[in-house]
Amino acid sequence: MSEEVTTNPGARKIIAAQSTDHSTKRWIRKIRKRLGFQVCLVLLGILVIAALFALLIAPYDPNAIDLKQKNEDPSSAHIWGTDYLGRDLFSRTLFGAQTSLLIAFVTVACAFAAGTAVGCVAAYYGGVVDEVLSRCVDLFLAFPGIIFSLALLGLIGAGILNMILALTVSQWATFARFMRGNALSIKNLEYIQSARTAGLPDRRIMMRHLMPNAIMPVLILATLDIGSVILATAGLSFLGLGIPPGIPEWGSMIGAGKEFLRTAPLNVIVPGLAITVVVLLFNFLGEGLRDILDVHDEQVIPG
Amino acid sequence: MHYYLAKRLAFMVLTIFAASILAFLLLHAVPGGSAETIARHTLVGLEEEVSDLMITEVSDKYNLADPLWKQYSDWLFSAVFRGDLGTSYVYFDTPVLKLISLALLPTLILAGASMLIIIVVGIPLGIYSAIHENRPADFIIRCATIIAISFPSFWVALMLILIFSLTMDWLPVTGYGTLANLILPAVALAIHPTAVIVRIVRTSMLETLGQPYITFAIAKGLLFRHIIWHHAIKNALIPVITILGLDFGHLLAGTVIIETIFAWPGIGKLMVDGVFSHDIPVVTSCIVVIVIIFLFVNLCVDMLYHVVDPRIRYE
Repeated sequence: MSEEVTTNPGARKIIAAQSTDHSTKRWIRKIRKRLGFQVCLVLLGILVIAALFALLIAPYDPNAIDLKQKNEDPSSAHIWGTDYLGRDLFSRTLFGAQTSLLIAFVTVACAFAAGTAVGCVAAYYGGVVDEVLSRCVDLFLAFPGIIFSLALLGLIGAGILNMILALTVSQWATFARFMRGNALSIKNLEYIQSARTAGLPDRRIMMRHLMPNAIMPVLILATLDIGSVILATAGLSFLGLGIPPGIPEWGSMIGAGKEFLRTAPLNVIVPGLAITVVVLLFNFLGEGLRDILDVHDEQVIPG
Repeated sequence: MHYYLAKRLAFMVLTIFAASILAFLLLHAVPGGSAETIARHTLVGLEEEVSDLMITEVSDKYNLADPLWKQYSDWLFSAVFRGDLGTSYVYFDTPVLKLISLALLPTLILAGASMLIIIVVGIPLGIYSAIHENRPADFIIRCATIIAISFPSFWVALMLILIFSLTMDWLPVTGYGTLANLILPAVALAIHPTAVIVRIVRTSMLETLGQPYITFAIAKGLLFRHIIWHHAIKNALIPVITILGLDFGHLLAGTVIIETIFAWPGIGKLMVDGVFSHDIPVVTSCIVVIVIIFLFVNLCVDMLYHVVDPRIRYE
């Protein structure tokens, strides 16, 4: 009996698709082969840990003003120099990582949850439900979302929660559309059909069978999206929206430092490089994941 | 074809309508839209001096006491039938339409210039990278694009100012009117989408080069240059057109920050100023105008698709 199953190529394919254990091992093997991807993972790990323990690592209080030492060049006391109020740029950049990563992770998680839920429901039920949900998604994708975030944020006022809310509003629709497409492509496979025939409740089929099997490509989108959310956060706070004063954030550091561009360019250069490096790491991560999971679709790159 | 066009236009009008409802309701429903806040923002520097009388005056003047649906239907009615988008709360009651019509041209010039950079730089680089796949040039271009995608555009703008205006003193920092003013903002705005286009052109070109008819052309003994120019490029660029259309929308969104940095008098700056002064009619109208331009450009792109590739038919 067991021989029969394994010699049948169609059955083998279905077994391979269903047993997640097997494919996890395959990914680990694929990851082992990619040195660049491993380096990227390690660097991101270090970054996240550094951001989490910023309080212990940072040599200075990020908000400690020292007007006698403003706009200083890098030295042994201040390795990246000081800003226009004499605050240590290294400490501020480190705490800025905390703010940026927090906002980016929570926003992407919210957009991911909302988007996959809407996409899954739309694909599973089809018909009127799909029509209504898809038109909503189309509407949100019909214009550059960041404009909406900007307007919303300007009016509801500064705050990290408000920032997350405003960005989620502009991000969720991409996830929904992508999830819907993936879920549609597996909705009519045998195992979903048989689960239906067996009379399982809809919610169980969606949570246990449809979601887990359609979600992988959406995860790649999520890693790529972290980079663009960091960029969007920085852009909005650069304009002076979203981040209340007193919280170090890369975008607002650049926004405040730009007045000193001529005399003390480090105010702008340091946080800008921090953004670039972090976004670059997340882009590499998404890129590597796409390679490993074999999803080849340039369109996945947002913006 | 006509039926398809009609359907698309109908959907476009519907989307604009829905987007305007979304913009109007969201912006009017949030706490920042109350008559009190608006009254405060009209008195810059004397924010605490706002009296109850002034608040009632503001509320009466802009009909803010009406229910939201009535405010919206009044606004929509005058917008559609009289071309009147309301008056600005801040700029001494200037009609919003006048502010927008003044800002439209600068934004289109800036976005157009960036588009030109994207096409002139992005497409050849992508093709070059694909032809030299896995050689040093390709590797360098791919690294450069992934770095360029990670740059925050506003930071690039400031770095360009630092290098070309403050250090070299070649180009002016801000201003509007001459070609020299246009260069830095257009480049800053174009860097991110150019990098994206390079990657897309490269992928599309590689895919095309793997097609059987290219193999056949090579087997036939045609010159490689001839194959690239006459067989590959045209087919590889068809999917790129759609992305270029979408890019135009991202350019419009990008202008919001870039115009503010370079004091470029366009829609983006108008909108940011509007957001800061809680000038809700201006912000709502800016959103609607950006949506209209974006949808219109995408419609044109889809029509162009048919011209470029006659095999594609719209039913």
